Amino acid sequence: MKGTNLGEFEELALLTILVLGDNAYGVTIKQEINKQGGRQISRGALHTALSRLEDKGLLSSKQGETNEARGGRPKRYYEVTNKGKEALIEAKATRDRLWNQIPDVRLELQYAW
Amino acid sequence: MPGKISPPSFYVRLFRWLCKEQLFDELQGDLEEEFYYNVEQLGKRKASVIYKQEVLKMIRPSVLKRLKLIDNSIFYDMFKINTKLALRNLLKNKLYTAINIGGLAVSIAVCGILLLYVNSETNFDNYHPDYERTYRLALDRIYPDHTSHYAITPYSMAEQATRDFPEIEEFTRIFPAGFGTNVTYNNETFLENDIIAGEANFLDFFGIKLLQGNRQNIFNTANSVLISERMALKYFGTESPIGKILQTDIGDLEVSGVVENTPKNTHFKFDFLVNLEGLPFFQQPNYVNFSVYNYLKLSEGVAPATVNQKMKEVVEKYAAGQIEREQRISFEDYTASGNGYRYFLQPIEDIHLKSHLEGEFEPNGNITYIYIFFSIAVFIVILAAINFINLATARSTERAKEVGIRKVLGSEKKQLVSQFIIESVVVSIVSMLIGILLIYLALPPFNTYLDKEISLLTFASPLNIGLALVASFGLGILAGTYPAFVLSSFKPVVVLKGKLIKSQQGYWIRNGLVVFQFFVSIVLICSTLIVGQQMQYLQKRNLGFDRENVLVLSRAFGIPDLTTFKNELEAIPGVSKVGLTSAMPGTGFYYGASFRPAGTNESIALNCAVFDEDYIETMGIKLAKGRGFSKDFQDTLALILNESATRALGIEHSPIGQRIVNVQGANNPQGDITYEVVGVISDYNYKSLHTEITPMAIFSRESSQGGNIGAIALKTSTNQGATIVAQVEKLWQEIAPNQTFVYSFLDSDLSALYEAEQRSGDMFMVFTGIAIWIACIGLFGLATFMIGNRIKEIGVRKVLGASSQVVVWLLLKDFNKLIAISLLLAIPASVWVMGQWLGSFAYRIEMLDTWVSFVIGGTLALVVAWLTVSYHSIRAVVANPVKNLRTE
Repeated sequence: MKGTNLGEFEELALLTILVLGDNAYGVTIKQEINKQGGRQISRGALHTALSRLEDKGLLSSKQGETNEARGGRPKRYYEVTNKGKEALIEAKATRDRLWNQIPDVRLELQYAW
Repeated sequence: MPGKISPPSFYVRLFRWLCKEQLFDELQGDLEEEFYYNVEQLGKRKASVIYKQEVLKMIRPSVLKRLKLIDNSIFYDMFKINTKLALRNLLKNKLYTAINIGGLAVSIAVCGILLLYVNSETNFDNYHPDYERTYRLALDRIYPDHTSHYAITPYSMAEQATRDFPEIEEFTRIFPAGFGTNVTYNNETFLENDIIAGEANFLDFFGIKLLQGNRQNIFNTANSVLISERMALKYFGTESPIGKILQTDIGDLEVSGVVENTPKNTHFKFDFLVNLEGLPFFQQPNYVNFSVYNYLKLSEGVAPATVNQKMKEVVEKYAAGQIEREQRISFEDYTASGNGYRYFLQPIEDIHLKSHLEGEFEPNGNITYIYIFFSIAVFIVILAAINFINLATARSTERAKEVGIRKVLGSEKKQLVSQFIIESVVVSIVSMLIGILLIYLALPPFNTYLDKEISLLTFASPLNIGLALVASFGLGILAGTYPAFVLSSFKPVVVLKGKLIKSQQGYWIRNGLVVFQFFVSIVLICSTLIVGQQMQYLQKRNLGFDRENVLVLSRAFGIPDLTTFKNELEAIPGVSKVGLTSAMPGTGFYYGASFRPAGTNESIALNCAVFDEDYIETMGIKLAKGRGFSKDFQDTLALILNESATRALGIEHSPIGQRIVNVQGANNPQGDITYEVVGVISDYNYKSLHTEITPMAIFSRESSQGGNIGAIALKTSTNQGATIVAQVEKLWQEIAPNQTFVYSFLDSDLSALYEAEQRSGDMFMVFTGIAIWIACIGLFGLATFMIGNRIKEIGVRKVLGASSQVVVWLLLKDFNKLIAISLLLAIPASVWVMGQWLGSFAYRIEMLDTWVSFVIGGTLALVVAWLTVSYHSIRAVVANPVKNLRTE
């Protein structure tokens, strides 16, 4: 288990990369997270997370093509490795297990007036 | 797409410089792509801002390049090795390093906070347009027996002066329109205190921002009101306030605009601004009765003294007539009898710190405190720098051998000096960083405590950061120089043999430094104790009335039938007496009116109040002669005076039965009324102890000239305060459900008068504690050094049969001498400083009575010094003498 535990943001990043499929590189990942997660993250923060995931072997990356808007600089595409997918499935399973054990009545929102 | 528009080039270069090379292409590519996307979506400016933020957020370990060492020259190597040595040395002696850095960091933090505080206090009212030629009109009102100084002045003065003199460009006036006013919106009522009336040019004159509304026409209806942002939020939340109606005690008001919250560095503050022109009593010109704050803007190049001079003309031309009409006495006679009006201008910038007149908006700051705090800031840093020197010297015993070896191995003196200096610069820079962190952590509670809005970030300009850096370098070099030269001048042969040089000169320097440190500490200790004594005195002084167990209900004017209410209050168990008055001591407002003994022409001004028949007894005020008001008499034309008033009127020998004329004026516009003095009360302090007791006249409730009952005083039995308050509140709610219930206890109201002093006293105490601590660190270092030098002497003495006590005393004796010298120097200094401070009180302790403080201060310093030194002395004495003597 140790080492494959995913942080909330790491999980978000991995899932986003899977959603994006072949088109997952810095800009798109960031925009997607901003859109789906409703938060503003910086490219720097994203970089830290991605390189950590890559170090853990949950992500792989390869250099891609470039275009004019990038000032001739190549993109770097990210892909979730098998290990990354396992970690995601594991995380989801843990959560599902917990969700299933919560009685509905406890989930009703309560407000103290 | 790219073409002309491109990301901000400085940031591109910055990013290229700091980013790891292998990451740059990818990240810069992404940032650039996003930039052009943002340019299309949000425009160039927004995109640039985002780009800059992105680059700055890239500053994180995973992106940053490892710093490459650019310069490989010999200097760089030297610097590197010295820094490394410095760090090693610092880490080796963890205790000393911690004491040194800790002491310096705390003193830097204290100094920083004090400077921020001083800065915030000295930057008042400097944001108004043309503030350097804006003045407030103030008045020295000269009475035959005393002079009073007023911040509020007659409302026609400024207007007339502006009309008559070309030197004055513009004027504006502020009238404090409502204190304790109920304001209701949507059935929610709040009690508001900061309601002022101003003129149409108010916002422009003071440069206050209008957030909503029309600046050209701020009062568009007769009952327009501008409210502050804070109030807009409180009453209307997210609704737009414009055009909404607020119901208030001073009529319904229509919100015509929202202004910014009054900046904290303003000598006044307001939440509601109504139109001064609309108030009924400003329709007739008035040159005599004080009512408003008059502000004048002079033309460029005009000296305020010119206008001070010209104000005399206004008094003679306009005020004189009114005085003659109202007082029925010629202006010549009036002035001949010792009355006078001397108007003068106060620079608006100076009001906060230098103006302490009657009727200020709020208690102002005190320039003496600013000087005191600034000196403390400077002294504390000096203390810390001295520690530096003492601690470094102290360690010379340990480092002498290191120096000897180095010299033998070929180090030049220059190199050693630079090594020691770098060491102390490292310490001072680390301390500066920790100190700034401490400031950052300490500011929020400090702000809450002093009701300030000081922010460290507003000072984070490149200039200030540079100054802080230069200061820490300078401090390091300054403090490092003396030890560096001392240490590097050791002769290798001598120190390697195990002997230390004792230079006579060094002895004087070191002792001089300790004397200075203790001098400062003792001054601070004694000052703190004297402040404490004075505060104690203020709290305990017999004010001439009983301040304990008196419950005060303010806003008595809200009660429709006071007599019934009073009867009901008296029925509450635990309430022994209930009295009504127009003004409570300390906080109340006493208006002035003119009186003269019947048959004379000279009138004098007395402060006036109204008492009911039970008030004197409720408050425990002493009746010196005659009787108080009573239901058994017809008291409409009865008057009670205080003893000062009988003296001022010249009737002190047989005051009872004297007939006194209340001269026609603001309080009795119909004409003179003659009263009979029925009683004389002993002087009691009805204002704060900053001012002396002035003559006072007291009307009965039946007299229509007395003014309104404003407060109800309840004498309660001890320890029942809370239950009585609950019952009183219930009664209040029944009788006046729409009126806010405001109560307080007299003793805490009175303590609040000295809040500024109390707070300064607290601050004093904290800084004194820190200063003593810092001085002790220095002493600790010095003790190490001095005892280290005498270790063999101690050994010999012990071998020859000296007892431990004798030796410890011998060691302490040296330090006693130093403390005694410090004390002798500190006494005159404290007396001088505290004399200045005590000067701001009309009632104060005698300087002679402060000897207790000096005894305690001196003893405390001595004890603290002993405790500090005894650690080393006892260790040295208890140690086996053989060990000490064996070294050679």
